[in-house]
Amino acid sequence: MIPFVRRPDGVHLGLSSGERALLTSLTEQLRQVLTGDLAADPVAGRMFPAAYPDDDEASAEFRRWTHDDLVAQKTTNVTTVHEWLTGTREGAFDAADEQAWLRCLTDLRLTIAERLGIVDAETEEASSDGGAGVGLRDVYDWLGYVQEHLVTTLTDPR
Amino acid sequence: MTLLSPDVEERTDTRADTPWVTVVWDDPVNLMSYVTYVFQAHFGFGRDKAERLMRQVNDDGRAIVATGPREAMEAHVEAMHGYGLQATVDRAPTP
Repeated sequence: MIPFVRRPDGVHLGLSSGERALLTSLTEQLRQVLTGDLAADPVAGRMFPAAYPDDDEASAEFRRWTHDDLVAQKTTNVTTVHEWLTGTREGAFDAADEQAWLRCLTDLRLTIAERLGIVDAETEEASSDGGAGVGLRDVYDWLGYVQEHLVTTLTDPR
Repeated sequence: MTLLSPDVEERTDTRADTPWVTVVWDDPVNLMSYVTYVFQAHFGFGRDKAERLMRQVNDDGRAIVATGPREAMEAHVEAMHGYGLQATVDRAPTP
């Protein structure tokens, strides 16, 4: 189904119930990642990259100032999206909902890319060559479609 | 020439006009349309400028998207990480 639909009062969710169920599961897993031991999870390097690649001390200080806020933001985003998927929220997105969706879809793709070992065009190609990761790779591509559709829906002239 | 180590010099240098930059790096995950959207939404760039910078990230592997005081660049980088983009703070290149 078309993931998002623009109506006069704003953007509405258009996902099918099966698609919502898949995304619900993914957001629950992302919430576990965000509330779990991030220091031991390589995805942290993608969601919270070093701000100063050549300066460990400055990067550590930046992290001290920003990390907790960023984790809280990302956790709020995933909670908001989960509430939309499970029917706690309904109707039209407000500006905060739009941001939560855009950013949560990004964090989901960053996390799945890490699990698939996608670091560049070559590894991206390799991850679609079959094997155990093929199901997850399909999900990754679908999330890309969903996000592309949301960006288009939000930015196209009305 | 200074007797201070570069690190100490950095940390004590708080002049507002000290040039620092925000660098956004290419990554295989983020969609071109999303990167363009983020540049427009966060920096207030017009669509043409946002697309030009997005293409620079894509083609050259990185682009400088802002220049200014260190604190402001760190705020931009934190915002970029909030959007899920790969961004770093660096000293402005010497002309």
